[in-house]
Amino acid sequence: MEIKKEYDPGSHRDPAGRVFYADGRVCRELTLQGQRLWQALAPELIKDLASRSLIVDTRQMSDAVLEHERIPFLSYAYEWPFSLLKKAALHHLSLMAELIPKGFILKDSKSTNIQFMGLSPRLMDVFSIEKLTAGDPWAGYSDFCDAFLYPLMLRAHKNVPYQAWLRGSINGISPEVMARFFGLLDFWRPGVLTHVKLRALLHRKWNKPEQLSRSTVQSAKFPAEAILKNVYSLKCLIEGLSVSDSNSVQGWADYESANPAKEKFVDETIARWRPATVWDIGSNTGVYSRIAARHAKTVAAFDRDEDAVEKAVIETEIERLHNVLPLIMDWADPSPGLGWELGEEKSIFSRGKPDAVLYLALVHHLAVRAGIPIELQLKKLSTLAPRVLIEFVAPEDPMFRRIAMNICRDFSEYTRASFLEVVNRFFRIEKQAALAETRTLYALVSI
Amino acid sequence: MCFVADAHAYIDPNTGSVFLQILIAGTAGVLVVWRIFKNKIKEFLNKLWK
Repeated sequence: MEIKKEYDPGSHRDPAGRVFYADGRVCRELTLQGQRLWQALAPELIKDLASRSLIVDTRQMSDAVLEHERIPFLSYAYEWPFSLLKKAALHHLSLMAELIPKGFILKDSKSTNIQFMGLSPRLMDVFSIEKLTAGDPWAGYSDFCDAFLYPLMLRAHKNVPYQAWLRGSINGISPEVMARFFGLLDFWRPGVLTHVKLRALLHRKWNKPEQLSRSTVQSAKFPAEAILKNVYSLKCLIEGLSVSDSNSVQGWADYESANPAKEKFVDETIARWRPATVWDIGSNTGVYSRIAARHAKTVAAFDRDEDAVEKAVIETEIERLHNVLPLIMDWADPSPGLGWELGEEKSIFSRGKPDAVLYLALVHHLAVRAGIPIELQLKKLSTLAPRVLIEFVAPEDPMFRRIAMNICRDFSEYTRASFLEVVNRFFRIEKQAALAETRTLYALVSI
Repeated sequence: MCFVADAHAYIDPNTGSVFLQILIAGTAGVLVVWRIFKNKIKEFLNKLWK
């Protein structure tokens, strides 16, 4: 029986070959150019980098087909909190520092090339490693600034969140736009004068290919040591960037308090279900994601509050969990597809389906804040995953009253009875537990 | 009515980034700048001399 291949629309840029998925595996069909490139890459180098978890493991299936290690959950820079974007940027630079002395380089610096396995970054696009051509400058420097350096500097120095920016433009932030954020008083900050202001100026003055051709630079013998020096200086710059001011508007990061009964129910339910992939939607600081991670292979945790997600990253690191990935996403406005055919960065609904969903104390938030009726929320969940662990918060709950206080909308249809009526239309209640008079947990199975 | 000069000129933002890499490369950069622009620099100096 022939295995069905599904080609990835995001891999069209690569002249080396196209990525396809078959039978749950990630493979790459190599073009003739790709086969030559693969032969040029030292197999022992690839093996060494993969063995140290710096790149995804890659093995040759035939002359024209490679198989790559599967990333459990694809995520993108606009979903990463500051700490993860910084980690991805430093990983990229560390790889550059390792490759250049060996005569190789990363030819581009797209943030999509880096993916996370748990909280550990990996280079996903092995074919962005290529032989260093003598005299060539770093072609990926421009992309690196736009996709990694500028978003990090913007957040660290100006407390401007970059997520909406990166979600709006797959190429990141241009130097011209970035330069407008920094005035004379910012010149003392590392990198502002050179990587931002001077780069913006040169982009305006030197923007025609004939002004400085590749062959001219090659014949002038641009030294590899200069690239390495730039890489080390960027590494130093990024290591020094940190976030001091909170960007949280609502302070959800400090909201969560210990709830042993809830923890027990989540633990027992996920242990019973044994799902491979769990999505914790509205995860806050990830307490229940980490409990789910005891029994699931992969947990992707989503929350719209950056502070809460940063806290989830820290706690995941403290607990040394390798299967939890906390990300920034608002379920009322989920991650869209970006780039060519909306497939270069996939929408959240094109990244595979979870086996179970945690949807704890979120129904009322979306109903009140975003005006999404219970029926639409549960209908979506029923098509998303076969199992859902949901917490219903009744309108009499103090938290419901608080968030609905200033919203002029009729919530008379938001009742426990209407919630259960909708639940019974899409799911079977496997188990339930009352946490308080106004809060109940339900373990639901799709009908 | 307005006129746009060089409307068909191809814009390559990477050219500026390549030049920046040369400028921040220290001594190595100075050598590269000399190798790229030596003819123009010599021409300029000759004009000054005369």
